[in-house]
Amino acid sequence: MKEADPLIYPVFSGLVEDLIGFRYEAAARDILLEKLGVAAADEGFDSLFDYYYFLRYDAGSAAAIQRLIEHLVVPETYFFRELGPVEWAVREVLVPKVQAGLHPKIWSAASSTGEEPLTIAMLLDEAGALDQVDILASDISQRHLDRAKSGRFRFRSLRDPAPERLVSRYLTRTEHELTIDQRLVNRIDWRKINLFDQSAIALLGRFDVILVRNVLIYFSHEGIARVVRTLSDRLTNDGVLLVGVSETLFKHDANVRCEEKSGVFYYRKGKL
Amino acid sequence: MTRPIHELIEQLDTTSFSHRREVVRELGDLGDAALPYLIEALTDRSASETRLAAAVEALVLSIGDVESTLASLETAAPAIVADVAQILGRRRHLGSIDTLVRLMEHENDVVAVTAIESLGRIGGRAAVAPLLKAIQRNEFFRVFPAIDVLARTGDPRAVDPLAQLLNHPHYALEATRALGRTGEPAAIAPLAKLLLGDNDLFIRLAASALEELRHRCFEQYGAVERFDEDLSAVLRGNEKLVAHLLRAMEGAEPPEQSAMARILAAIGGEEALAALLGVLRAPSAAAEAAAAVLGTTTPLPVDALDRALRAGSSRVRTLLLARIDQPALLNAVTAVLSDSDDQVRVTAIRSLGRMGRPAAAGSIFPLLDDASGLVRQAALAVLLTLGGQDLERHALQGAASDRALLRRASLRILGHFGYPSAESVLLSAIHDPDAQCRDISLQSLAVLGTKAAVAAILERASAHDNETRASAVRAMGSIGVEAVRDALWRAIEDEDEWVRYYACRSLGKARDLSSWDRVLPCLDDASRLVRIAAIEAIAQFGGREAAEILAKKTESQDDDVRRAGIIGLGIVGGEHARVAIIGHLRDADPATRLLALSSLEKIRTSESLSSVLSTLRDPDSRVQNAAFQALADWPGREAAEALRTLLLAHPDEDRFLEALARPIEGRTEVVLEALFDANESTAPLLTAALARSSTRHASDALEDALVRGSPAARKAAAGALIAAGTRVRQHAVRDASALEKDPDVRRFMNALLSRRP
Repeated sequence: MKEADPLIYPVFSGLVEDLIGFRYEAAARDILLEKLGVAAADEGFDSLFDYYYFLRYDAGSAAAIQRLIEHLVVPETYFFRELGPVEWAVREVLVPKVQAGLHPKIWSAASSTGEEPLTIAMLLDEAGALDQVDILASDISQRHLDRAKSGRFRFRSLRDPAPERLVSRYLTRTEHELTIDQRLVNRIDWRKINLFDQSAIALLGRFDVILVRNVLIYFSHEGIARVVRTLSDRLTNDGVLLVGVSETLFKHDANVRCEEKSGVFYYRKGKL
Repeated sequence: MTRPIHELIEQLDTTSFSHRREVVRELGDLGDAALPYLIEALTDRSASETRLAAAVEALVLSIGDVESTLASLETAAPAIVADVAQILGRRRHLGSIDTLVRLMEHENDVVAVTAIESLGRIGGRAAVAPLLKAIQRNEFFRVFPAIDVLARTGDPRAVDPLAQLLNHPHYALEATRALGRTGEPAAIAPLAKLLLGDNDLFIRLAASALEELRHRCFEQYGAVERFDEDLSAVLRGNEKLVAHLLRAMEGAEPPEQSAMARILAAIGGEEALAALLGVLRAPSAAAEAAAAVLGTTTPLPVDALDRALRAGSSRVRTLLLARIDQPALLNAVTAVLSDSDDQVRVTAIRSLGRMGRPAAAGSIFPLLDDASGLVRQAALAVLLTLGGQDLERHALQGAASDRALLRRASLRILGHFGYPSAESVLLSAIHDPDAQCRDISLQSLAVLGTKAAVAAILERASAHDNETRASAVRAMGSIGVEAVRDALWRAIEDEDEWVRYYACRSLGKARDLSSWDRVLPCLDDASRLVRIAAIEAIAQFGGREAAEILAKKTESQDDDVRRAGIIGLGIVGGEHARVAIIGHLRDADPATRLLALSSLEKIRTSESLSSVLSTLRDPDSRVQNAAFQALADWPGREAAEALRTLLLAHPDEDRFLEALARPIEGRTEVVLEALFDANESTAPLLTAALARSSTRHASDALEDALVRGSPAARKAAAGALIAAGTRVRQHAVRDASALEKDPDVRRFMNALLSRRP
């Protein structure tokens, strides 16, 4: 790429934020430029400015935008990550509803390569409730969704500490990879969704539990508020929203209130 | 409007925190006038805790002469005196050191401990003697804070007494940590001795302390080579240590593991290196640290690295490859180019690039067709760096491949190096079925610039399909404008917006002023793309008229038109452009503010610098950071003075020190001037900036400060010069010590000279 111009970073960081809400801080400037360089070269652009204007204004740029998104998103997740809140949601929210004869829904938003929704599926299956719960898993990357649906994972997808009872029951180690019980994969509705696409999300109905974990850190302050407002609109009246353990919505005007049970912090719709 | 003092004093214990904070701030702003009332509030011990705490806060913030006023309270009740000590410490006034030293001797432990902690807040070396006395007294509650404060003085006289405490059961842990914080190379030996013990806790602690010591040496002196040499000299060959470290590594925290890995490397020898390679296999922080040290340790264990690379997992390979650049490992690195992990392939390619051997081109070439874009990009970048005759042969073969990715990269290589064989291949590739191949060949032909190449480009500019015409017109931007002007003028009226876009850009790139009247109408083109390209072209033409047009464009409601105008103004430069740009430093859109800042960097005047400084307080962290980076790179006295002020106001922020230490015009002079009247707090920061600069000019300035600086500066300069470790610098300190009149400075210099391991 010819340009290492300081002007490239501002225009592209603004574009990326508009497209998917990711905020590349100055410290991540080089990472962004490296990814852009590869994406632009793949599209045949020598100049990042030409590439930028192509993405912004060319009528035929939609496919190129999706390819750019594929370059930008990072598959960083693993099975049983921050397991406590997920176990709580299954045990305290979903299973009681199943026992009450209801058919609850859970959505793992920004599920990346699928380890989180598959962990949920394992827990539901263990509780005998898998068939009575609808699980939606979404990500902005088709590549990630395809990998999730393949049911094949790298060893990095399994890290300590992992509950042995679930590992031995649902995961199989081969020489080169991990595979998962395909029954779980098939129970999940996998969809490509941009969390900034309010109209697409409005069509999804309402959920008893929504997880949007370890993804808000990539968004700007305004982006977080926007995504959380969109997601909280999709909660049932008693639905809960779970974010990552190191994330908080206190600072954001997102129309949710924080509650705590059994050491798990979650959010419900509406201010206190 | 400020409220009456008595009214404010009555509200010191108001229940609202925000109201109380406002009252405290107002009382502080009143300065001397409010002091008698605040002292009364402080000494009225029947008052509520809230009121007392608020009075303390107001005194800390006061702009009045608090130090003199509080002097009368030295003999008050211990609780009041403890508050006095706390206030003095938080105000960080150097003139309070004597008072606090006296209060360290107070019979009441709370007062004494508060005084010691306050000395720690003020920093500096003035209190070293009383602190040394305090830790020798064995008064439990006073020794702990004194150890901590003493370590942070950075005074070489602190090392021996702290080392003695390593034998004391109560203080050994704290003393170990404190030795790390001293930043004194003399602390290496006592800490290394702890590694030989049987206690895993102390081995981990000592390793961490050595790591901290190393980090502080880097902060202070900008280099750690001397530190590493000293550590190796103490540990080298002591293979008994290896077993101790491996045992202590199990169950240690990641930072401790990392510290121990570095120590293994410092020990050196077969056994230690074998241990490091063993550590690599575990998925832990220690493995990353082991990889880091294996890649940088001298002498490099080439055989062991070769084995580790070939047998290692993808993760281990990535860690090792990031640091490998020895040609002796070329075969091992080539062998892992087939790893299934694309990160390994990328790091292996870059590693081969660093080796600089054109012979590696044949191994890298097939990766131009890799499934991963990152790998393809890395391969192309490295091949363009390596060059070589083999590469020409590979590229010619690749250009005839049936795989489009390989053809694209091969055509780029041929065009980049302009091999004689390239012309015919490129001329034929302008009819390639792949659009990117056609584009690359046209751009490459433009760089070749031969008669046949130019003719082909002109011919393609009339091609039927839009894409080819746009490519040809873009290529014209790399050809002398005389040969293509007419074609570009025709292209500017083409039906396709991308053709018109590239025509404007090519004319702008050529700065062809005769095209002004052709480009001007494009500012109102139906296509936004073309309007933006026209703005950029006008900017390239330059001049007052261009600046006026661009300034108008920066008022557009369209983000990209506005931004193009700002970028253009940066290119045009001049006062008119500057004034138009600074208005956009307050734009509502952060990306526009960032652009305005970047454009302003191209117009380096005093006024521009003032605008950059005000942008340091921008609400968006990206803009703040960009403003700071602009300041850090800004040459001249004014920027250096601004950085010096920031550093002295925020001594704990390393970025200010790093920026002031950059070898940029004006920095050394400004730092040296400040050393002439630097105090115990500021002198070490200023000398650290010179030491980290690592230029001859800065070293000379340190020697200058050694003779002409304030007493504190002379001590700090001596520390920095000794740490540099060269004989010449040590001689300079020895000479200065012999001529030094101030006994305290002389003792300090002698302590430095005698304690070097």
